Amino acid sequence: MKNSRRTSHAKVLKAEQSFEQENGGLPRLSRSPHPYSRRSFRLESPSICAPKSRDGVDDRESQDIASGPTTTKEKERRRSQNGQRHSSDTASSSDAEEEQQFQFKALPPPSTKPSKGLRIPSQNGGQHDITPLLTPTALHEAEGRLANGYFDETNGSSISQVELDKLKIRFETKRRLSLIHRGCEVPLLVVITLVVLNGEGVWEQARRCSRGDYDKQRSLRKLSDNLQSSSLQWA
Amino acid sequence: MGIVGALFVLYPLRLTAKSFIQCGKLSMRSFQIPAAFDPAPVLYPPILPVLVALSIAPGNANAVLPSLVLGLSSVPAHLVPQIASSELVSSVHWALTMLLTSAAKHNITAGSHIPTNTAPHVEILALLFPLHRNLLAVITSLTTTSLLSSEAQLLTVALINLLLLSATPQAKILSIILWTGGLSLFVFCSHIVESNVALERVPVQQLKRAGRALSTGSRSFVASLADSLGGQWQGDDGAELDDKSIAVNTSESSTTYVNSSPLKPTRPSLRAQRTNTRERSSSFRTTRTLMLTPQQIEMRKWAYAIWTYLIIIIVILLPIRYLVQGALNAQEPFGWALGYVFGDIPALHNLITTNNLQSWIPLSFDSNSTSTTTTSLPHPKLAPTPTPTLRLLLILHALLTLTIGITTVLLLTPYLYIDTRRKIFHFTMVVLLLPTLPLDPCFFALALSLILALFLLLDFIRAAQLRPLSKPLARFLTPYVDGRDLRGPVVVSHIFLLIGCAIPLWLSLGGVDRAGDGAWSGWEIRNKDRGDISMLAGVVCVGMGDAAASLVGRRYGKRKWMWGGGKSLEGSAAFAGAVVVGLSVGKVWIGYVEMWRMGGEVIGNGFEMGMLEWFTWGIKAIIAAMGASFMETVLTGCNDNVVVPVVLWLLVRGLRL
Repeated sequence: MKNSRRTSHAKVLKAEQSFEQENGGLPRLSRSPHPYSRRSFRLESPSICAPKSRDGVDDRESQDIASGPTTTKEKERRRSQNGQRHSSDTASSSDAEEEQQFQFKALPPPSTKPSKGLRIPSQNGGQHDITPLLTPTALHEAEGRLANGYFDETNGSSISQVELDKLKIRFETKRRLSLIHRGCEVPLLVVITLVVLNGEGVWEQARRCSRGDYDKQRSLRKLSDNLQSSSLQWA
Repeated sequence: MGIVGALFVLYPLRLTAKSFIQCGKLSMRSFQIPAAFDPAPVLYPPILPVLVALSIAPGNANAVLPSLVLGLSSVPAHLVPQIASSELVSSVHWALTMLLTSAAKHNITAGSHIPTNTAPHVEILALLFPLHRNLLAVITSLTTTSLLSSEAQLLTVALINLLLLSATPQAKILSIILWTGGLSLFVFCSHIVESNVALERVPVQQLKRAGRALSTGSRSFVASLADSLGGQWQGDDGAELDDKSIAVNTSESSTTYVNSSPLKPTRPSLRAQRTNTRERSSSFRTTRTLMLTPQQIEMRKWAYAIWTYLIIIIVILLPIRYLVQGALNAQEPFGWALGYVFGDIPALHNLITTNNLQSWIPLSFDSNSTSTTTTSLPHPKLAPTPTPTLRLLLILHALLTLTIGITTVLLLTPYLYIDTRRKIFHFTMVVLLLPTLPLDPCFFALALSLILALFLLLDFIRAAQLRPLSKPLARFLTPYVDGRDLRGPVVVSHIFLLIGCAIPLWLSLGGVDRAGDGAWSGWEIRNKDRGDISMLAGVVCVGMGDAAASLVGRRYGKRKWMWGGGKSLEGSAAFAGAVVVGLSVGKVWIGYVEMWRMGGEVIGNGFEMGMLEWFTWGIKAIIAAMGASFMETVLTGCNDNVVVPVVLWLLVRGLRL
C-alpha cells in the first residue's frame, strides 16, 4: 500500500518536472477552479488567494522581498513570465494586470445557505457549528456585512454605488418584513389571551377576587387578629 | 404578567444604563433589535402554560399559581437583573417568583370563594424556581440540540405541572411513567449509554487486530459495569467517560500496556494521529479504544445493552408498577389492564370467576349475573358507559388502521416524496382517532400516554445504539426523518406528532369531573362533559390542517406570505378550511355518539341547534381555525405540531365551541 502511494507520488513529481522543463521553467499553475472547499468556508490555500496589500504590491511579491534579497533580473524575469502567461488570454497588459490582481485578491466569503437542521463546518475549523434552524441566517449575515462596511471597502473594485444602494434597499426590505413576521406573533398571542380570559369565565373570577370591600375588611380584620395574638404571645 | 411585562420594558433601559456606565455616553445601539431575533423563547414559555391553566381551571388556584410561578421562571435569564455575574441561579429571579407567590397567596386568602385547603403550599411554590432550573439543565443536556430553547422550556414547565397537578388516573400514570422511568434510566443507565455510544463511534478498522489480542477477555461484566458506573460525569461529550473506563479496564487487564500513562501516547495513538487528522484532538480517546479488539468491543456493547434492558424491565416491574397501583385504586396494574380490555370475553370472564381472581383482575360488571349465562353480557350499543368489548374493538381498529397506513407508506415509498409520505401518517392519525376518540376518551388518554412512553423508550434505545433493536429502528425511521430530526440525537417528528394529537385530549380531560365505581373510579367522564369538542383539536389540527396545508400549498401555492419563506396563502387557507371541516365533523360525530350511547335520545351537540346557532358556531369555528392557521404560519421558534394544537384548543374553549 505504502509502496504504491510512493510510486504514484513520484510519478506526479516527475510529470511536474517535465512540465516545467517543457515550459521553460514555468511552474505549473496549481490554482483550483474552486477557490473554496465545498464543505468549508475558508480558503483552501492562503498562498493562492493571498490578499493584496494596501500599497498595491502583491503579498507574494512582498513575501519574496521579505524572504531574502532578490536580484532585479529575477524580478523582471518573473514579471515577464507572468506577462507571457496572460498575454495569450488578454489583449492589453492592463487587463492582464487586473486579472492577475483578481487572481491574488481574496474573494468575499460565500454566503452561508440556511441549511435547515443540518450542521455546518465551523469557520474556526473546530467543532461543527449548529445552523440556527429557524432564524434567518442569510439576513443576519447581510446585516453583519453592511454593519461592518464590507461593501464600502470593495466598492471601488467590484460593486458600484448603485448596486450597493440596491443591496441596502433589498436588505432593509427583508429586515422590515422579517420584523413584521416576528411581530405578528405578539398581537396573535394577545388575541388568544383575550379569547381565553373572556371565554372561560376568567373575568368573572377576577371580578369576584377583586370584589373589594368585604374581602379587604375581612383580610384586615384577620391581620389585626394575628397581630394581637402575636403581641399577646410576646407579652 | 405585570412582572414579566416590567422585565421586558426594563431590559432596554438596563442596557442603556449599563452602556452609559461603561462608556460614559448614551448608546442607541442598545435598542437595536437584531434581524435574527426570535421572540418565541420570550413569548410562549411564560404565557402559554398560564393560558392553559386558566382555561382548564379558571377558579382553581392549585392550577393557576404554579403555572404563574413557572411562567415567571421561564423568562430568559438575560431579562432579569443579576446581583453578581458569577451566581449560577439568579437570586433576583428566584425572589421575584417568591414575591409573586406571596402576593398570590394573599389574594387567595383574601378571596372568600376559594377554599384555603385547595391552595398550594407556599414551600412548594417557592421551590418551583430551582426545580425548573435544574430540570431544564437536565433536559437540555439529554436532548442537546434536538430541542429549541423554547421547546425545552415548555417541556420543563409541562413536566413540573404534570408532577404537581396530576389528579386523574390517566395523568397520574403518565406522570409516574415519565418521572419515575426517566429518572431511573437517567441515574442507572446514563453512563452506560455514554460508554456504548462512544464505542459505536469507533470505526471497526481502527480497532486492534484479533491476532494481537490481549488477555482482556476474562474481564468480567460486573467489573466493566462497576468501572463505567464509577466514572465521573464529563459534560456533554459522553466519550470522555467511556475512554476513562476503557483505559482503566485495559490498563488493569493488560500486561502489555499496564505501564501506559494517559499522558504518554503509545504507538496506536500516533498512528491514529497520522492517519486521521480530523480526530487529532481525540487521539487520546482513540488510543484507549484502539487497545481493544473487536471481540472485546462487541462484548462490551452487548453487556451495556443487557444492563440497560435489565434496568428497564426492573423499573417497569418494581417502582412504576408499585406507584401505578396508587392511581388504580390499589389494583395491580397488569391484572387491572386485563380486566379493562378483556373483561367482557366470556371465556376469560368465566375463568376469572371460577378461579376467584377478581381481586387481581377486576371485572366491569357483576360476576354473579354473568357467571350463570354469558348471553347477559351488556352490548356496547346499549351500554351507558364504554365497556371492555368496545375497547377491544377500538384496539383492533387501531391495529388495522396502523397496518394499512404503514403498508401504504411502504408500498408508495418509490413514488412519493418524503413530505407526502409523512402526511400519510397524519391521515392515518385522523382515521385512527377522529371517529373513535369520542367513544372512550379516557381509554385513549391512557393509550396515548402508553404509546408516548413506548416512543420515548424506543428512541432512547435507538439514540443509545443499544443492540439488537437500535439498527432496525434507525433503518425504519431513516426514510421519514427531516432536517428537524437531524439537529440532535432525538428523532422528534413522530414524538411531536403524537403529543400534538394527544395534548388537547389530556388537557380537556384534566379539567372535567370523573365518574366510575370501584376499580374503574375515575375512568369515566360525566355526560355533561362528553360533548367537549376541544379534545379533538389535536387530531383536527395535526392530522387534517397540517396535511391539507402541505399538500395544497405545494401544488397550488402561488401567493406567498409577504415575509417570504415556504408558506403560501393557499396553504394557510387550506389549513383553516380543513380545521373548520374537522371541527364540524367532530361536533356532528360527537352528537351521534352521544345519541347512540343514550339509546336514541338527542342530548345536544348540534341536533337541537337552529340555523342561527349553527351560523354563530360556524363563525366561531372559522375564527378559531384562522387563528390556528395564522399561528402555524408565523410560528418559527417552536414545533408547530405541538404549539398549534394547543392554540387551537385554547381558541375552541375560549370561544365555547
